[in-house]
Amino acid sequence: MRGGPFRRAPLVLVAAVLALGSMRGLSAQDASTSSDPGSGVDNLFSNPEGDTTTADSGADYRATFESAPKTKVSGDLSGSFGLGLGWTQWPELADPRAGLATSVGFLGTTTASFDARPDSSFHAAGTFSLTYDPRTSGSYVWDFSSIAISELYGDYNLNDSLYLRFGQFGMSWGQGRLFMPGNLVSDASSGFALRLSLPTLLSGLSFVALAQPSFFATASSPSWREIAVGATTDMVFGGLRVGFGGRYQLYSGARGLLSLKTTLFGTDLFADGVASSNGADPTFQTMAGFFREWGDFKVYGEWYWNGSSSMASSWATSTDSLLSSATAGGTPGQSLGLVFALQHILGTGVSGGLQWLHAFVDGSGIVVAGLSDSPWNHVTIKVAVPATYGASEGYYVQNGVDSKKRRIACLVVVTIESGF
Amino acid sequence: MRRKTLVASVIGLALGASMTLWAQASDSESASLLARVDKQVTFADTDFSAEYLIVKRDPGGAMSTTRAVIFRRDRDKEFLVLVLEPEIDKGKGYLKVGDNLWLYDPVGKSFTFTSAKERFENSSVRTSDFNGSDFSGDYRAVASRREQLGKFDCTVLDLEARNDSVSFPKQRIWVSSGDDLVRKVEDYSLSGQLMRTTAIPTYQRVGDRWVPLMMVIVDNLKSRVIGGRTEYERTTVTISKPSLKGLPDSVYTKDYLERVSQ
Repeated sequence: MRGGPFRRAPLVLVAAVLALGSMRGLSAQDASTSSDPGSGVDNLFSNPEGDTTTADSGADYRATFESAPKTKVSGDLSGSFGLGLGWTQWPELADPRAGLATSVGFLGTTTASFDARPDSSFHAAGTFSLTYDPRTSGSYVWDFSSIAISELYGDYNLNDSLYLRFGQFGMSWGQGRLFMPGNLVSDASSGFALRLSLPTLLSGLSFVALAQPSFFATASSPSWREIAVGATTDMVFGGLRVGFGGRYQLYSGARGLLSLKTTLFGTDLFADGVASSNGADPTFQTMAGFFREWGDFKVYGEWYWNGSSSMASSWATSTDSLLSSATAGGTPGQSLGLVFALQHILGTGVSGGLQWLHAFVDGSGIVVAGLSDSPWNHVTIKVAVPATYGASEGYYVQNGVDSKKRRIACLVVVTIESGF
Repeated sequence: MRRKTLVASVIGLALGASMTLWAQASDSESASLLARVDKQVTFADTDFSAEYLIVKRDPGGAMSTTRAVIFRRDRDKEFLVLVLEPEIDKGKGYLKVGDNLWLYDPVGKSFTFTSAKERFENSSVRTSDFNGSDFSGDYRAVASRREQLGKFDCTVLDLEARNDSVSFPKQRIWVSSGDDLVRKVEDYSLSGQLMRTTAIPTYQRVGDRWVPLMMVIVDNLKSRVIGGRTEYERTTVTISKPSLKGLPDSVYTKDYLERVSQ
């Protein structure tokens, strides 16, 4: 045994050197132990179709979108039946009927749209809608005098270097989905708008002009000086997107927007800052949030701070969240919003979600749990359970999803819809 | 005894040195192979556009079909994907410029800027699959071997990402000999979990470059046991009517995407 360790030393040395030489290969082998672990794709290679040569089709696919079809007309008709049951105060075991409120409703909507692309330089589109709601109209017939123009606009393309859109159409700036202080043009679809875009400058540079009856001191004699004007652009620095926007109108003053967005570890992070001034001291609003998805599961959150003291600012508009249309963003101070959404629950076609909104200024909030499914063709069933908390005059108690202002309710809506 | 020890040590060092030299040569060969792989499928001088038919089959058999047109400019790392079908998603668009991706929703008429949403239309296709190939820039080979994949004699390379902008930190690729085309790809997480398998049994030559004619993508994370067998989500992508027609710069912009979405 004498000298045993020394006798093994060369072998250890050789083994160590060999191991060093092949270490990187081994580390890569850790990635997998099988080249086809159940994927079943290897049989595709046993007798594949041979590689081939395909002639350049020379196709200009832009024509598919720019000028074809020449004119398209479409629309849909939907009817929604709703039932609601809940309590305008938190239910009491001693008297469960106290505050009990039920509701039944019907809403019919029809829309008609056209899209005309006579050639690649001009495009016109419009959408018209008609709503039938016996609760508000008190009538049981369609009232065709109430047809609304949802959008009606024309596009002109000058040599792919300048795009002009004019008419009535929606625009969206900013990044908020629950709180939207950055959407300085949220009112664009309420009147006439004109947008001139230079697509290849920066990451797109656009100028806008908006005209609406409410902008003019004397509606019968509007002045061009009363038209709202604005501009927005994007720039990207590495993985950071920076957006700028601004808007000015003679009476409502100036607003400026700074947007930031990036992605870290697979999570979208974003923030909007808005400064506004109308001759007095400037006021500020800030929104910051995140978005993350794991396949069918999504999480979304926003924090919002409104530096103005007024309860509802004109540009903090209603939410377009994953679940519903709870009004949000009209409170001064801080607010929070969080959304969880899951599609294909347990492998079915059912989608679900949970949304929480909270206003720190009055301690009110709303939690909405919802499920949605389309069990048959053209039929969608939605079930929502909204619950509000806080003082009875609290913002979310007064501005929840339930028009009856019930503290807790179960709402079921069945919609039958078909397009043509 | 000391002499034997010395001789064995020298042999060991020589073996180690030769292994290191072999590894360096192998590194060089692998890097060269990755560069050739990229070159075979990259349209450096022209735009590329084509129709993509994407058929997803869920475990259990539910099918969904997406038809889209892609415009690709490899030299600037740009692409634009416009969805044609299904009708409910028509007009949706994906614009990639550099490392940044914009999604356009024609219903909300709004853009979302992200690099997190990598699944294309909820299928096994990742938005990065529309990129031109950049194996040589994004990955380095850490091991290689030869393997027969059906009728193809292949070099198998184990790859590790050079940066964190890629979809998968580790990949294993099978490159067929003679044509330097990637026939199979396995995508792994950092911990070594197999996440996705892609098979490209057939290519089509367009101009002087190659494009898959058909590829099958298996999502190894989405499976169900049905009748005692494990079934995975499986997406088949067919690329047709390729075109090398030049396109104006404006195609790869948000304004163009918004203008053509219906």
